[in-house]
Amino acid sequence: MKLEASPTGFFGEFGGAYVPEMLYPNVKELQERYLEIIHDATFECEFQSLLRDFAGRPTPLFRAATLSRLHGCEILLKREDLLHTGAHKINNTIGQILLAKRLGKTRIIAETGAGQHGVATATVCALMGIPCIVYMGEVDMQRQALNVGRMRLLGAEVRSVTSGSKTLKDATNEAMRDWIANPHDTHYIIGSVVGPHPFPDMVARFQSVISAEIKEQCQAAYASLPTHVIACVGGGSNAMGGFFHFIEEPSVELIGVEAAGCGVSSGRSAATIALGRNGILHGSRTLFMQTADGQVEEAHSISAGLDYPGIGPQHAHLHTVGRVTYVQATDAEALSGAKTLARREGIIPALETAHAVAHLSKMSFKPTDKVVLVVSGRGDKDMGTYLEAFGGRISDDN
Amino acid sequence: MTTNRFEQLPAQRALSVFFTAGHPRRDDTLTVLKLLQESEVNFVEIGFPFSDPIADGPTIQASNHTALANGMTLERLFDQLATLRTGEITLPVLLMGYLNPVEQFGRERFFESAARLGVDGLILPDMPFDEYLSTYKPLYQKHKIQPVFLVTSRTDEARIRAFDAERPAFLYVLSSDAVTGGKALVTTEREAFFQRLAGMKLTSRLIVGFGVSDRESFNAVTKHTAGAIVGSAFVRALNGASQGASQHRSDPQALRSLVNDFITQVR
Repeated sequence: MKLEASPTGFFGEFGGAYVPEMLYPNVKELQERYLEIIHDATFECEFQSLLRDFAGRPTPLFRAATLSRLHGCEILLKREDLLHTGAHKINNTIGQILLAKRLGKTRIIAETGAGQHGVATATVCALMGIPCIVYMGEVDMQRQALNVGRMRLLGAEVRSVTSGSKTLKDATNEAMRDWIANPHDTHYIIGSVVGPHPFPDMVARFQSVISAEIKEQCQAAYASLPTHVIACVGGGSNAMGGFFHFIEEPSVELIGVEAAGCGVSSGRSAATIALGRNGILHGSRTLFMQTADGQVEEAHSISAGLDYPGIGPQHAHLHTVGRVTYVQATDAEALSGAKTLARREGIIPALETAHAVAHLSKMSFKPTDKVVLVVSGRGDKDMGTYLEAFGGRISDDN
Repeated sequence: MTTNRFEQLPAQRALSVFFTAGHPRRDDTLTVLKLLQESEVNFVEIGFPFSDPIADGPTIQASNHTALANGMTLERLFDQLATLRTGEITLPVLLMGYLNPVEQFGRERFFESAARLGVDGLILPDMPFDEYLSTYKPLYQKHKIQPVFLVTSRTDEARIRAFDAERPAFLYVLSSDAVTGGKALVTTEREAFFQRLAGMKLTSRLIVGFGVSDRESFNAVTKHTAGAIVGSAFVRALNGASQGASQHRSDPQALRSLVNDFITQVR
């Protein structure tokens, strides 16, 4: 299958641009110009050179020997955790800051959950000398205090959001309100494949470098495509990036791992695909967790980056047509996944990534399988949670 | 059987008030509506709450959350409005809210319920105009409910004329680039915008909203337009009715004096 946005930004029944009139001119300007801008040769050249020299691309595709032995197949880790700022988020923020400059915007706003997108935005704003305001839920500011400090050191203003669940959903609302109030000079760098068209398509294109490299690296090492690509899914940007160039390769099994929190049916989860219904949130038609009355439900995940009640419209579509299989991992399973990767491979992953790692042990593989797991980010930001969760057991041998 | 209730509006200085159903108490909706009619308000928008009102400022956001915490739902709102047109309410009534609750309730069912109860107009700020034309317009027409479109200083002329051609109840002219409850544009910019609109000779009424809070702002924005909507300032005033007569109703006397005092200060 092909995954292409319709002229009005739909992927099947999902997507579109459900914005109030105040945002219509901004969104329309982006819709009309994003493809022309990102296909421009100078843009492409500047984008690629910053990805290489500033962010540190290409990232390695590392053969995880111990995990490979454990699972009886080739496990290959796509090391987005090695990128500058510690996660895949910078691929998108580099693309969007270059786009914002071409649109003549002089002020940047962003929302952030775990703080990784906020840090990646603050970083490119510092690089370009553009003022940056990051909206972050009060709850997330507490659990990701280190990233708040990083953003501030980079010169960004971090604004605490105290409405609703005080997490990513509410930070997104507040960023949209800022954009409504500052439509002339401001570009909103959305951090995931969510929001009104063209954001989901644009962010997917900027993140697609992940699967472009996987394809090339796999060809070079094995002269074949991978058999599986596994990635965690919150809004779904690292997964979209990891899947992008394989969507039209039917032999590659694509698996998205959502956060089940305390369990899919516990009432405390962020398992959007499992629990969501079709509706309109943050400017697009997609699947999200909501009450019978259409009120958005609060998500829960131990990982702030997956703690979002919705999912990007491409994922909603890929699920509906059956191209991607979406599965869930609980908080406890993710913690155990993080420990596994740390102990077996010497890599402390972000809690988001840990959900994808956790899913490996629920699968069975053939010896010929080449399974790519996208390590979306590193675990430094989550050390507080890890220490608290493992407590005295952090020195256990297993 | 229905006449177009918007025809009864005065040509100038029409005053409309917005409030959120379920705020401050769950079952205040009809009481507030009656008090607004007594105070000679010309028409009313009843907001139905949504958890994530992205076009609204802190005051209306808070009223949405209070309403939801009070147990307000669309189902309940339609129950409350069952007697809307059986009593003395004659002024035009619009419902206003975000698209998702409407879609979950069921589009057809929503329009059918609203029309049956005598609702005159429906404002859905996050409904794309394309989707109005493809999906919602037939429902508005079938149920004789009038749409309303938002116009900002950045809406281009062709788009404004396209809105006008749909014969909306009115064009909802935004006096500011902000969410609800914000400050109005500086006078010179706003005047130029309103004069540009007036010069377009549109068939629709121009009604100004966002940033209208008192007599001064009401007088200023209605100089070149047909009227104005007061939202956040009224919702904030209603916060004063915190003493309840019962668990789900504010004290009617407290509400009455709040509403009367507020409207007197605007008109």
